[in-house]
Amino acid sequence: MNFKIIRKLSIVLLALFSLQGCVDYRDDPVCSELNYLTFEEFRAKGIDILEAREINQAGKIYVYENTLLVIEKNQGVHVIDNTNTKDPQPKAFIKIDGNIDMAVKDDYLYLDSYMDLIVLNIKNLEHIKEIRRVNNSFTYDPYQSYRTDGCEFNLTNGLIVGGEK
Amino acid sequence: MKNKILLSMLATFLVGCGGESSSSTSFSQGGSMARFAISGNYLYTINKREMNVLDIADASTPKNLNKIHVPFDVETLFAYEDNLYVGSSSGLYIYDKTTPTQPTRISMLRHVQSCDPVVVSEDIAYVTLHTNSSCWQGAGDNRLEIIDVKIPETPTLIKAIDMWEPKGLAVDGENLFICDGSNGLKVYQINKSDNNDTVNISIDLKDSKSEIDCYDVIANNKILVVSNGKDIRQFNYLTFPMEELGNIK
Repeated sequence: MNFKIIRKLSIVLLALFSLQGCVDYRDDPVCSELNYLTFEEFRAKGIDILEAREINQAGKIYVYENTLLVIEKNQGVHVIDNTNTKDPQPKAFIKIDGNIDMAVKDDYLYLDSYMDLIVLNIKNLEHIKEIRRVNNSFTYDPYQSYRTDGCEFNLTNGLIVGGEK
Repeated sequence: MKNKILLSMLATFLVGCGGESSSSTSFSQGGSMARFAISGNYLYTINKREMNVLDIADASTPKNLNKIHVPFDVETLFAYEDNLYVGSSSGLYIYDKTTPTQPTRISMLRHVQSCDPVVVSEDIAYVTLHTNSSCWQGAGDNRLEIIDVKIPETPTLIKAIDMWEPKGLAVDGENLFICDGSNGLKVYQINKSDNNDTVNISIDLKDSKSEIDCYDVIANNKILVVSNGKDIRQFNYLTFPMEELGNIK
């Protein structure tokens, strides 16, 4: 290997090391408040279909026929009957931890809940029904809903809860 | 006799309803920030480093089919014809899904580091790039890119237009809607001309709602749904300026 290449390589390596220096591992309250739920415990908690409530932070939106869906990131979905666009009627809030996205096919609503996919039937907005949970459709992302950057964590313990959002 | 007339009126009415929708499937549409996209019997999703393919032929019973490695910075997903358009912070990736269970990457159009939702309409992709605190901290650009994707293997930039801080967007026919940060919700007229296979696009501002600092929009059937922080606003875009409809708090 000639000298020029070694010099170039060492510059690249130096740059990489200095970048790594920006990620400082912390041992502050944010990290110490982190807790774990085993995946079994998390799934046992399940989801809740609750009465409609006010929108705090409207995120992603979805239109299915006359139904309008609004996600509050990591919390769940507002379900709105939009048959009369001049007077839309909020119908329910589906509480789902770790929810970011949604899609609907043939009255079946798909929602992610961290690594799992939840299926609900929304044909009748007065009686939204939970149909099933498909385990491990996605890879769990430990950075999804809590401040975990810089903290040390062990994912074999389960899912991270608690700490700062 | 009366009954017969009533019945035939009812039948005509029913046929009339069916004729309005373009296909037998029900209407279903997400916004431009979506990471879930349905195409036929498949649900495609992206997160962090992977694209997932789920079989939803039986809509009540999705099945995990495949995981495909994708670049780490992917953000949004849009299905159009035989392709999946993936917005990422480094560029637009186009995947071919002719084999639905195995999407393969066929091209990439690189741009500066920014957040970028993408929508496609009539072989033209519209990509907004924006910078804010949660995304590359001011390092990128704020602009709209208009890209010819008639041949998805070789996407070509038609033009880039400076914007304030564009986020979600939607296209319906000749209407382009853009959430342009604190500069408001903007509506543009899309003018398309086709000379010797060279597509040219220009856009003209025709309406704006300066008080709306929105995240995402869906335009369908002349109803615009706007995700606007504390509430959802709706407009009728049959005429401009748009008439406001009911909002949701």
